[in-house]
Amino acid sequence: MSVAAEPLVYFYVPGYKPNYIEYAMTFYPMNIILCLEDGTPEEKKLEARYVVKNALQEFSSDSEHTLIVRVNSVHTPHWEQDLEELVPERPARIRLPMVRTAEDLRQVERKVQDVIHQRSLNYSPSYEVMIECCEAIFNLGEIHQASQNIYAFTFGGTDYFDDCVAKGLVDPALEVRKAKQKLGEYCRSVGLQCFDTTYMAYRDLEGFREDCLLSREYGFTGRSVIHPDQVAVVQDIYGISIA
Amino acid sequence: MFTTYRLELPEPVTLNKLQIPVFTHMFLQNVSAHKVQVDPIQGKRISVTYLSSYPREQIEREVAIFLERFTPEHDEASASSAEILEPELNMVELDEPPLEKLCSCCTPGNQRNISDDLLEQRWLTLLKNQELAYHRPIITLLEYFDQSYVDYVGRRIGDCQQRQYSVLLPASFAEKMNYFHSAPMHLLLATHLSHDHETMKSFAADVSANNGKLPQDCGPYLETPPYILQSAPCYKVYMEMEDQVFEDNTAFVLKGQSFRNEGKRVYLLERLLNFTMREFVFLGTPEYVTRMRDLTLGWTIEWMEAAGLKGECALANDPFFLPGKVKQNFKVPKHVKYEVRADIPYKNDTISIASYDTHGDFFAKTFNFRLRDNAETWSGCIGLGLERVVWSFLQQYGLQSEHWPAAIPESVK
Ligand SMILES: [Zn+2]
Repeated sequence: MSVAAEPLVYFYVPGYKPNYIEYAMTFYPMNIILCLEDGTPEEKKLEARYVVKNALQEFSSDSEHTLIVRVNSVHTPHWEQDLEELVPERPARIRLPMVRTAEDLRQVERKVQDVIHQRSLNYSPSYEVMIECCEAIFNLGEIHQASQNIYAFTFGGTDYFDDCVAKGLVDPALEVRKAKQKLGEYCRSVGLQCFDTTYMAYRDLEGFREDCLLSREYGFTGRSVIHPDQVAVVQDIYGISIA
Repeated sequence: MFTTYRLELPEPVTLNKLQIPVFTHMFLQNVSAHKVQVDPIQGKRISVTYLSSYPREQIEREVAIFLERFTPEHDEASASSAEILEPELNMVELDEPPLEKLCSCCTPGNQRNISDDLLEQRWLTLLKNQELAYHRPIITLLEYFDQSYVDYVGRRIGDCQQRQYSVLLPASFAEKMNYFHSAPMHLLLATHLSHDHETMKSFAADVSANNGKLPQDCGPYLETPPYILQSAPCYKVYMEMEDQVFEDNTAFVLKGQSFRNEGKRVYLLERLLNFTMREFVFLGTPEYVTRMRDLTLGWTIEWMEAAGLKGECALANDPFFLPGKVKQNFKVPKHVKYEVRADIPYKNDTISIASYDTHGDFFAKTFNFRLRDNAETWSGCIGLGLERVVWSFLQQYGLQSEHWPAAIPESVK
C-alpha cells in the first residue's frame, strides 16, 4: 500500500458501515480511519472486522488513500482478535486508543509481531498512539521510548475529558487544554507528528476553525474529522506551517 | 483501467438529493465519463470516473464546458424559469414530497447493455426510418407493467373515472393554453390537404410529375394544421372538463399515446417519437392535488420495489405545460415536476420513467373548470412511460426470464 495522502486530515468512518467507507473512498482521497473502536457499537464488533478486512483487501492497490485501522484498546476484550484478523491485511498504520503506559504499547507490538511471524508476513507496521488519559500524559516519554515504530501521537479529547471528570478534577476543560499543550510541545520538541482529536459539533464550523487555530499553535500537525464539512478547514489551517 | 478525479461544483451550485439524479444523467449525456457520483451529504463535491485511455485534458475540458452551461447564469432551464417568474405568475411554496420514502432500493442482476440482445433475439426489430416492431415478449411486458401499475396505484386511489381519447389535440384548444410557445421543437402536427378542388388536382399532378413522391414544398397544398399529435394524453381531460363545474375532487385514469419530436435522438425503447403513457389525472382542491402527488409518487416507488425495479425520485426542471408567456394570474407551485427515475446499470445512469406535474390552477383557469364550492381548483397528473419501464426493467435484469425477480408472474416469463 502506498502512502500518498497528505498527513493532515484523518477521516473517521465507522467500521461496520460499508456505505460510509465507500463514501469516504469515493469523495475524499486522504487518510481514512476505519474505526473498530468507539465508532462501532459492542454488538457490531464482529461485523465491523469483517467489513474492514474486506475494505483493506478491496482497496489494497489504491494509491490515493492511506487506510488506517483503529483497533480496540488493550483494556477491552477485543483487541487481540482485531489484530489477528487485520494485521494480515497490512493496513498502512494501526491507531491504538487508550495507551496508558509503555507496557500497553509493548503488549500490542508483541501481539502484532506474533501475527507477523505466524503468517510469515512481509509487513512492518507503524502506530498512531492515542493519548486519552492523565497517566498517558505523565508517561509520555516512556511510551515514546517503548517503540521504534511510532508514526504519530494523537489526542483523544472526549476520553481525556471523561477521565478528568472521573478523577474529580475541578476544571476538566482546562485539563484537556493543558494536556493538549503538553502533548503538542513534546511532539514538536522531538519532531514527531501530532494529530488532534475530533470535534463533534460538526455544524459549528466557526468554533471548529478557532479550535484548529489554537491546536496548531500547541504543535498539532493534523486532525481527525467526522464530517466532510470539516475537511476544508483542516486542510486550510494545518496546511500552513507556523514554524 | 479507470481513473477517478474529484472536483467541487462551481458557486452557487449545490445539489439536493432530488436534483442529483438529473444532474448525473445530464452529465453523462455531455461528458465522456464512465461514471459520475455526487456527494449526497454536501451536494458540492463530485467524483468522475473515466476510461484511463481517454485523455485527461479532454475529460477536464468536457466537464468544464458542461459545468459552465449548468451554472444558473448560463442555464437554459433557469432562463426559462426566469421567464416564468414574470409578475403574473404567483409562485406557491409547497412542501417537498416525502423524500425518505422515495427510493426503490433493489439490486438488479444485469450490468450489460441489452440493446444487441433485444435485436438478435428478435424481441424488437428495426424497420426503416427509425421505426420499430415490438414482438411478443415486449408486448407482454408492456401489457403486464401497465396492468400491474393500474392495479397497484389505481386500487389505492380508489374511484377513478376511466377515459379513452384519440391522439389528436385540436390546434384551437392547444392555442388557448399557449401550447405553441412552450416546446416548439417537440411539436408534431397533423394536417390534410386543402379541400379546394383545384388545389387537390394540382397536388395530384405535382405528385405524378415527381414519380409518386411528395412535392418538395407541400406548404401551398396544406391547410393550417387543425390538429397536433398530443404530447401527453391528459390534455384531453382538461378539454373534456372545459366550462364544467364539478362536485368533488376527481381522479381520472387513461392510457394514451404521447408524441415528441425527438429527431435524431431516438434510441430503441429509451427514446421514441411516439410512446405509450398510463396517466392518472387529479382535479380538485390544492390540498388534494398535492396530497395525490406525495401518495402517487410513493406508490409508484413501492410498485417499482415490488417489481424489483431500482430507481428514485428526482426534481425535474422541465414542466411540460407552462408556456413561455402567461397572460393570466396563475397560481403555480415553485417545484412543478417530480420525476421517478429508473437505473440503467450498464451506463451508471438513470432515465425518467414517470413524472408528477402539479399544474396549480393553470388548466382550471385556462379552461374554466372548477369545484362547485371552492374558490381554488387545481390539477395534477402522473404519467408512466410504459416503453421506458420495460426498457429499464430489461436493462436491470436482462432477457433471461429465469433471472427476473420472483414477483414477475410465470405467465409473463
Ligand atoms: Zn399529464
